Amino acid sequence: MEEKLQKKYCPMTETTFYTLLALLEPNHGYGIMKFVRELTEERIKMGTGTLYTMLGRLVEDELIYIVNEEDGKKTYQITEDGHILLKQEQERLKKQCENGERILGE
Amino acid sequence: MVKWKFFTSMYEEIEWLESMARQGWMLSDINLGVRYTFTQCEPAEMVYEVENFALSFSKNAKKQELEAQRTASDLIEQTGWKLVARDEGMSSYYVKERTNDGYNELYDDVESRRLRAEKYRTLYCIEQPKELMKLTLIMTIFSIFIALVDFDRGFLIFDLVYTLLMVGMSLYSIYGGELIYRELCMSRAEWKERKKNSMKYTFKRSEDLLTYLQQRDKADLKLVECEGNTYIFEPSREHYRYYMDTKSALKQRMKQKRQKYQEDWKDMNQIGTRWHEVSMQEAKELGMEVVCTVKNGTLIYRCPESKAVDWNTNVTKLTGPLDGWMPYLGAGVGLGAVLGIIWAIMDMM
Repeated sequence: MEEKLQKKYCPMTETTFYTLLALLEPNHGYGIMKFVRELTEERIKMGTGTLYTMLGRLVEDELIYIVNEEDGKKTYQITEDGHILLKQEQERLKKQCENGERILGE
Repeated sequence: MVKWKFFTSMYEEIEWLESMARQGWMLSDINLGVRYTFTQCEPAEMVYEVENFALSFSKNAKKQELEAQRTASDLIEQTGWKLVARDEGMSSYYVKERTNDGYNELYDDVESRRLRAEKYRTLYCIEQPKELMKLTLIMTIFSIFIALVDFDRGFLIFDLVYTLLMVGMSLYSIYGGELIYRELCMSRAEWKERKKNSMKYTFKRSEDLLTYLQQRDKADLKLVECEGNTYIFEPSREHYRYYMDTKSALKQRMKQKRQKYQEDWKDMNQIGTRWHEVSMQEAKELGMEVVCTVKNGTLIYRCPESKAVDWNTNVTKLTGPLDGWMPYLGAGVGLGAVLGIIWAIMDMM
């Protein structure tokens, strides 16, 4: 994978992380918003503008791709590269959490 | 019903449209950005948003932009927004009912707000002035050509007026772009908060500014920031005394202490902060905190009222005649007069 992508998405913003998580299975715009809202128990509420700005960027960087398109409704899914970056971010977060717990205590 | 209004602020416009909705008027059309058409409806608590899908004059829109455009308009409509009007600048006006689930804005995180603000800024600060400048160039070359061929100065005068107009419009566009950028980087709630706490104020003498700040202090407000002529305050329980410092005041103080202020001769445009550092050091020793800088890099300090001392009490000449657009006008008129007189004298000889 290009180093540029690594640098850009490591660390990744919360919204990017959750969007990629939502696209492990094929999903569409509104479905992504719902998935993230439910998973985070309303902690993260992605705005529409936020979402389509990000979807555009993720498609351009080839972290997700368009599975199909039906009357203008696009369905997305994560790509191989996206999967790798997502797993990397999960690892990074785990290590960050462990370090924090060690110093701050549980 | 038709109303004519001109807005430079997007949030102001949205607030107005929402207040119209509360009175039972829904936007149905907008022309040239100033002519608003409304239809009657049930008074309701609505939210408006404006999105522009064509933020680029360059005819070669990138593939991503085209894709993003379609995704965007689909997604917006899927989440409950309804398109009510579009204007000639390709801005789309969306409306939906205000809900309690927090989805009352299209953009709700810092990054995407900033990206959107950047698009507007590029349009108003770079692309629009570029187009205007191109037109000016064409017109000027054309008039020079006519003047050479026909030796008719009349057209040159027309060109001068045209150029003045174009330059004025470009500057206006650039200022507007900067304002929109700063505005759109904030959420609507932040913007409302800031508007509540900020005041526009121009002053002629430095004493006026200090008096103003002390007045605000009595009203339990403390200065947080200053942008241009707008001063932003915050409620405060503590009371302070305000001070200011300028480069010339600093030099005077140093002269009195028989020290010399070492000028930085490389700093031709006076943008260096050497004197700021010296001043802040002195202020720190006196227990004052830095608030912000105002016009011409003047520093504002404050100190809790209980510890207030007398300092720098004769700072004057804060704003002189070299402020704002008057000097440009004055210089232009002055220079024009001088040249005109010289020309006339040469004509007579």
